[in-house]
Amino acid sequence: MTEIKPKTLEKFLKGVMNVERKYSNELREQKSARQTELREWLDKFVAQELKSEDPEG
Amino acid sequence: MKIQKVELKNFRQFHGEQTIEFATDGEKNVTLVHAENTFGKTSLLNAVLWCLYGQVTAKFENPDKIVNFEAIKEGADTAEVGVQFEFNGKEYLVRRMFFNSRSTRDQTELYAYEVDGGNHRVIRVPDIFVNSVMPKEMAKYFFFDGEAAEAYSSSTNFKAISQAIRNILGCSMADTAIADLKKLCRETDEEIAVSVGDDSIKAIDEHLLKVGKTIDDLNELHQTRKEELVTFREQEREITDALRNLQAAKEIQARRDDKQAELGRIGENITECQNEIVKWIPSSGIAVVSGRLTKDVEAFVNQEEMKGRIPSPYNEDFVKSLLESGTCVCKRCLEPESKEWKAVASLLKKAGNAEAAAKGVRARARATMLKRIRSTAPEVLMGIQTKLGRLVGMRDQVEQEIAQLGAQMKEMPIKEIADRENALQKIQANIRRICGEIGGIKSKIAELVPQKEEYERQLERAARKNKEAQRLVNRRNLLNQSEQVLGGLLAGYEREAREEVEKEINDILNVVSHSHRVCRFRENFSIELLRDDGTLSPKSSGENQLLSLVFLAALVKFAAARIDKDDFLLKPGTVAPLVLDSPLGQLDRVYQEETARYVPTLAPQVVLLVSSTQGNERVLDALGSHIGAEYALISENHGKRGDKKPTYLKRGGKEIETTLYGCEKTLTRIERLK
Repeated sequence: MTEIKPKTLEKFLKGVMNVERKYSNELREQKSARQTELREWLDKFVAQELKSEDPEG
Repeated sequence: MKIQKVELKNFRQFHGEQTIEFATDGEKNVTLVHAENTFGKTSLLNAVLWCLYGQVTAKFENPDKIVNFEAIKEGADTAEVGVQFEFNGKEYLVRRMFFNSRSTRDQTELYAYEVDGGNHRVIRVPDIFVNSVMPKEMAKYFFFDGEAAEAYSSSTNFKAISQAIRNILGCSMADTAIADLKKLCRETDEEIAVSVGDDSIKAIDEHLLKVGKTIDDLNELHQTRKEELVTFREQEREITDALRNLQAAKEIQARRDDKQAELGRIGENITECQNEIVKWIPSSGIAVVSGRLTKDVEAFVNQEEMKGRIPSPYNEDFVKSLLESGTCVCKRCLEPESKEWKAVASLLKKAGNAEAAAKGVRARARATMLKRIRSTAPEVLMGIQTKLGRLVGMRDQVEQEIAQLGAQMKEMPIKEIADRENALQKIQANIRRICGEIGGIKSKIAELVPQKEEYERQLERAARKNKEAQRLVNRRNLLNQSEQVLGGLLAGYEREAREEVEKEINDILNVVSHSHRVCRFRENFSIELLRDDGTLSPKSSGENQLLSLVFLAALVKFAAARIDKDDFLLKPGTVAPLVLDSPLGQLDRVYQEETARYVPTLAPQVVLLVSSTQGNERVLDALGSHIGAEYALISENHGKRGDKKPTYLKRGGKEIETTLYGCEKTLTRIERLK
């Protein structure tokens, strides 16, 4: 597996935790928009930040 | 958060509308509620927990029977609890209603309001609001059933302890993030297989998925087996400790025999010393008490010497022989009655004989000896007395040790040895089996990991030709690595938290415990109590309850210390009322007193629910000036008293009857005392 730079991981995780924090007072059993928002953040991050991690990109 | 009041309406024993106002003063921060068993202590604690979170403690039986049975007879269908509290300078009211006739799914309704004077502003999502005031996962450590507190000190309850530390640390957000990342990773794997449209990539991905799933399953199994192993190891340790105690019984007996022999030897030495004192009295005591006499004897001998009597320079026999021989030593002739003869004969007056000389010498010698004895005798006596004193001290010490050994022997569960040996053998067989299984699981994982890595490399290579595949593989890598980083960070936080909680526990133990013990977390999070010398100290039920309470207190302090922590992974701590149901039940009187003295310092607001055995005079004295509000729960019964004895609560010189009979209804009434 290609190793991703620690700074890139940190930036991604901060975004993930921002979403988690936003929904942190929800009860876990409740259905939530949290995962949709996480997916959006993931796609955006991969598109913008991981080009440089792409060996051929 | 400070609770101002709790309003109950037909909730369990509490018929009709009843209110209890909690002390909110910073100094007088304790609300004391006296209630005998079954009067409603647990119901009161659960009323708050149920209102805020819809959950109850394990001790709250029949949680679906919320509405008071007298109210149901009167046709009521609902029960209600309202909790009014202050939070961040504002007042809020949270109200939960229970509908008896509704189905389980929608049996309760929750409302939250911001209270501004007489106005109640509705809060749109009440459960999220309550969770933001105090996270649900932290609440159970603040609303606590003290009788169940022992659970935390059980050696096999390491999971509850670990979970408690994680909950108070605020790991829930990061835990959810890890679960979310895993879910997204699985979805990405499935997407690669389905949406890329490349058969070779699809085939590699399917292999990868299969191997990945097998590794996940094996890891899960590994975790389960590890937990089982920990449980068995803890059970093994408990039994081994017990057996060691039995072995210790033999050792104690041997030590007791040694001590008895030592006591005998000391006794002999004491007798010897006493004999020495008896001997000292005639030999040396006379010299000490005859100092004057000795001086007089010496003076007399000297005086007699001065007079020339004893001893004399002229021996009587010698002078006589000169007179008889008629010749002096100077060769002069000694004619009887001559001048020379008279001169020599006059010496007879001064001359001494041998007997008198010997007596003089003996008298002088005796006087000198008495003088010498007198100078050393006190020292000799003091030496004997010191030795005697030391021996008496040693005898007392050994007698005390023998008594302690006897007390230890009484606690030895000798009859259990065979049963425990059998149980130990079974547990050890299980440990061997699980260790074997774990070994097998590990070797399978070790085999599969390189396969997985190889598939991942293949997938990355294959994905370079396909833009969509490349995007998904990048996404997959990101999710996988992020999950690992997050897991590593959380483990580090947990280790730090464990150290801090351990330190906090020991600080609190130093204050409340009357025996010096040190608490230590084992690697698996179980709590153990150690003696000064580092050996394991068996815990009595009182110590178990104390240790659990102290653990809880340490969690509450840890939560308070983390209130302003701004960490991107963890939820901040919280400050909340500490509501303790029967926290002192199994403690001895000294522990009760010390704990009661300490409890008011644990949180800005403390609610203690106690029975008469716990709310005794010493406990009340220890709580002293911290009591800001005081209530009694009175049990009113419709039936007749019969042979039942009345129960009383004595407070402020008054005697309050707490069980009443022949009342209109059967219910619990809240009566304010202070």
